[in-house]
Parts: sequence; structure tokens; C-alpha cells
Amino acid sequence: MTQEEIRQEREAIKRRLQKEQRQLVVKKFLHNKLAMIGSVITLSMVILALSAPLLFPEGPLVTSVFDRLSRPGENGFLLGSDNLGRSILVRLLYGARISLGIGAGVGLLSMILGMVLGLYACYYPRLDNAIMRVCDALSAIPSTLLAIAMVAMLGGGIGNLILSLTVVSVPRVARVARSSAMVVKEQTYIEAMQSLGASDMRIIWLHIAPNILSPVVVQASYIFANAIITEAALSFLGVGVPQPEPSWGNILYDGKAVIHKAWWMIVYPGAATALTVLGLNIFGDGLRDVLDPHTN
Amino acid sequence: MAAAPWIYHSAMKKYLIKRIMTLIPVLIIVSLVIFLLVHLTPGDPAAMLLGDQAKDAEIAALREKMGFNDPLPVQYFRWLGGVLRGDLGESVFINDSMGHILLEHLGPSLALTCYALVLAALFAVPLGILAARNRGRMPDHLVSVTSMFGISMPSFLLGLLLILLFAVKLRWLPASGYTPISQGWLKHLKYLTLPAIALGFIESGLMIRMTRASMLEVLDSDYIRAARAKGVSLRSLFMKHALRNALIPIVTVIAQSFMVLLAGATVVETVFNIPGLGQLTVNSVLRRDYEVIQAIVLLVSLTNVLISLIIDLLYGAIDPRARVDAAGK
Repeated sequence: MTQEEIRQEREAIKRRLQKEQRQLVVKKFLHNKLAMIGSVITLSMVILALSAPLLFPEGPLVTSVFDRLSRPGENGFLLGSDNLGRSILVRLLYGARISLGIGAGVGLLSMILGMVLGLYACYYPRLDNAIMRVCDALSAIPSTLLAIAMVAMLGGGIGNLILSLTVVSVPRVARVARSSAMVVKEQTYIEAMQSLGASDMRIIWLHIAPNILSPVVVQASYIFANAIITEAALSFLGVGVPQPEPSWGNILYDGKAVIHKAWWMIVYPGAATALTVLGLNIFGDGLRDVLDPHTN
Repeated sequence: MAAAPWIYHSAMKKYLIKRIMTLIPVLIIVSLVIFLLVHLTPGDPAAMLLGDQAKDAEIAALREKMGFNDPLPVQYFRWLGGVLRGDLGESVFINDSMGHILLEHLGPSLALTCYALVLAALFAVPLGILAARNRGRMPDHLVSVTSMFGISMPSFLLGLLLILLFAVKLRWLPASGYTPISQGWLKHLKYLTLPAIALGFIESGLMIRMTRASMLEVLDSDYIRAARAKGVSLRSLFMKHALRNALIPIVTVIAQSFMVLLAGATVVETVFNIPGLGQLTVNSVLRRDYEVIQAIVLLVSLTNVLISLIIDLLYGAIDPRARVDAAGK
């Protein structure tokens, strides 16, 4: 056999093993009830959010003064209308785009930043203390309060919300990433890479990072869920997404003023928020079970 | 119990010193973050404090008075010096000393937090034990679902739903408001019940999980197996042998929950119109009274750091293994 053939053979074996590994994870995932229920709930919410402009091209801001506070089913409003006569259903669907968008943005950004911080803290002991003390300090400040304060200083708006919620969530990911990376770093193959003269960047990003991905992704799904809650809370307090853009928190904010007259302005956006957060949390739990080699 | 000899223990002393030393950088960074929150905001802080109607001369006067013209490090150390002496400044908006303002709003928040904590613990610990006793069977699954709902339900949302049901529909309890304890226990509790349930339920989700996990861990240990082999009755096994040892992590979670609840009260207070720290925060945000926000964040964060220090020290006092581990590292 020539050298080239041996190399190809080895590549083929590697690919087959990787495929088997993937199939195993996928099979475990499909058999895990929690993970399946969670992903079905989350995916349906995402599909509903994406389909909003197709279903209701007129948008969530159309008011109709004569149909204020219509009950569900009245005047053609399936889920009722709000105090300005806007359809709750349309606002919920468009609000899902904002609430889920903020949640996903925060989840993704915290995951990336948290991994960078955690990996570098783990690999360079000199950075470790500095990075971890900053994380300690940031988590000593209660997250809702810090988010409120940051949004108050920076001003509301989707970009600033994502930024504030990310700052609040990064320490959690960084801690998980660091502690998982610590275990990986002690493995023999990392030592082998080092003695072969691989660069730090190569070791960190090609050999440690892929192996800490699963606990970090699990954390990110919890952070996604938490960001949705905090965004709703901030908008509900009137310091989040600026009106009249619909977010689930904003609809609840409007609903609080008319709580004695219009239960549908509380119950529907509330159900949407709680269901999505539940879906993401269940998904995270399921994913943790699937990826954790200790549970079977 | 005899006087605590652990405090004189050399390992404990080492642990104590080490734990306090790690606090110092954390506290410095916390103070920097809180200071910079206000001072790195775009725009002139004096102009923001006075609002849109202020004249230029007034803004300049306030800038001079508050020392906003000095370089940032000078301002930071002056502010830190004030904080260390217990002087948090004063609110330009309310025109009162910060200490006085905070004290006035602290009472309702503390009452709400304590009430919520008691309700959550009373609800969560028995359910967690029930789930652990019936591991893998129906009660366990039901409790899991309950705790999942607790974790996924935002407190303000639960608050709104409780108002809808108990205040608007059934008219059993008031929808909002607050009466201090001086006007009678019953009235005080009546106004705080719905907010305390709303606030406590979210935290009970986590407590249930911890109680269940820590009971299961203890039940798996060798000494429980030994006790069972010896023929100890199931009831006594649970109450005497398992629960007592599982209690340490449970109590830790309950103590940590205090901080989560105090912070979570921010939103719940606004829902129920309770004049606590949370409502003060939100009002200060709306009227751009940044000094008050800074003071509240500082107060709550310091309490947080102190409570976690106390928990760690108590842990060392209760469980000898913890302090030996920590000092040995």
C-alpha cells in the first residue's frame, strides 16, 4: 500500500467513526423524551415567529379605534384586541420575533464570549485570576438589577438590551467553559500536541474548544430562556423594548393597565412566554442528559 | 452546644483569611463597575440629573458641586471614600440623603423577601423529600413537572395571573398596595400574600430540585445502606439518618435564595405597587435619578457578597470536611 492509500484508508475510518458517533447522539436525542418535547415546543415558536409577516403582512401596529379591548373571537380578533384596538394575535406573533431574537442573540453572544474567556482563563494561568475575579464581581451584582441599571444608563432598544443581558450572562458560561476546559487540558493528547510544538491557538481552538462545546451549549439554552424572562421583565417595567414595537413584555405592560377589564392581554402573552421558556429549559435538560456520558 | 471551638482551629483561621482575601478584588471590581455604570454613560451626567428643562448655568453649577469636572480616578476615589464612611451621597431628585431614602424603602422589600422565602421553603422541602422517597414513580414525576414550571414561570407573570384570579375574579385578596406591620399583622400579611407567592414560587422550583438531589445523594451513601442492613425502620431512616445530613446543602440553597428573592422583588414590587427598593429602582430609572440606582445596586451587591461569605463560613462550621478541604488547597 502506498502512503497515500494508507492516508485515505485512515481518513475513511475516521469519517465512519465520526458518523457512528453522530448517529449515536442523534439516536439518543430522538429517544430522549425531554429533548424531543423541548425542541418541538421551541421549534414551533420559532416557526410561528418566522411566519408572522406571511400570515399578517399588515404588521402589528394597525390600530382600530372602534374595536378597542374586543374579547377573544369578537370583531374578527381571534385572541382579542388591546386598548388601541390592535390584534393581540398579530402582536404576539411579531412580538415572538423580538423576544426570541433577543433571547437567541444573548444566548449566542454569551456562548462565544464565555467560551473565549473560559478557554483563555484555563489555558493561561496568569489570565485566570483576573478573568475569574471579574466574573465573580459581575455575578455578585444581581443580574436583573444590573440589567436594569445598564439599560437605564445606555437607553432602551433592542441592541442595548442584548448587550446588557449578555454582560449579565457571560460569567456563567465562562465558568462552565473554564471548568470543562480544565479537565480537557490535563488529557495526554493535549500534552502530546504541546510536545509536538503545536501553537497555543491551534490547541485551544481545534483541540480543547470542540470538547467543551456540549456543556457550553446546554448553558446557552438556559441563558436563552433566562434572557426571554429578563427581557419580558424589563419591557414590563417600561425600560426594555421601546413602544409601540411589540415584545411579549410590552404587551403585558399594556395589559397591566387594563387588568380589570381585559384578561386576554395578560393570559395569552403570559402563556407564550412561559411556554417558550419551559420548552427551552426542557430542551436544555434533555440535551444535558443526551450529552452527559454518565447518564444512560 | 459548647462554644464554637472551630474558630480557634488553625485550619479554620487559614480558611477564614483566605476567603476574606479573595473578597477584596471582587469588592474593588464591583465598586468600579457600579461607579463606571453612571460615569461612562454618553452625555453630561449633570445635564441628565437635572433633566431637559435645566438652564446651562444650573447644569454648570451642579457639575461643579458634584465634582463632575474632576478626572475620573479622582471622582472614583472620592466616591469610594464616601461609601467606606457610609456616605452614599444624596439624591438630587428627592432632595434627601441616600441612607434615609434606602432605609425607608428597605422595610417592605425585606418583609416581602422573608415571607416569600418562608413560603417557598415550606412548599419546596417537603415536595423534594416526597420526590426522593418515590424516585422514578408518579409522585416524583409530578414534583419534577411542578419544579420545571416554577423555574420557567417569570415571577411578574405569575403575579399578574394571581391578581387576575384572586383579586379580579374571586375578590379574596387585594390586587395591590402595602400596609406596614404597625397597622396590624393580619392586614400586613393580607397585602403581602399574593406577591410572596408570586416571588416564592419561582425559587421553590430550584429548591425542590436541590432537596431531591441532596436527599438522593445521601440515600445512596454507605452509612444509609448500613443503617438499613441493621434494620432501622424506613421512617426513622428518612427522618433521622438521611434528612439531617441532606439538610446542609438544602439550608445553603435557602440562604442563597434570599439574595435571589431580594433581587427578584424588584419586578414583583412594581406589579403589586409595593413601596420597596424595587419600586424605588424602577421609579429612579424612569426619572433618571442615577445616583439612587447606583446606591441601590451597591447596597444589594454588598449584601450579596456578605451573605455568601457567611454561608461559606457556616458551611465550614457545620461540616469539618469543608474547612479542611479549603485550607488544604
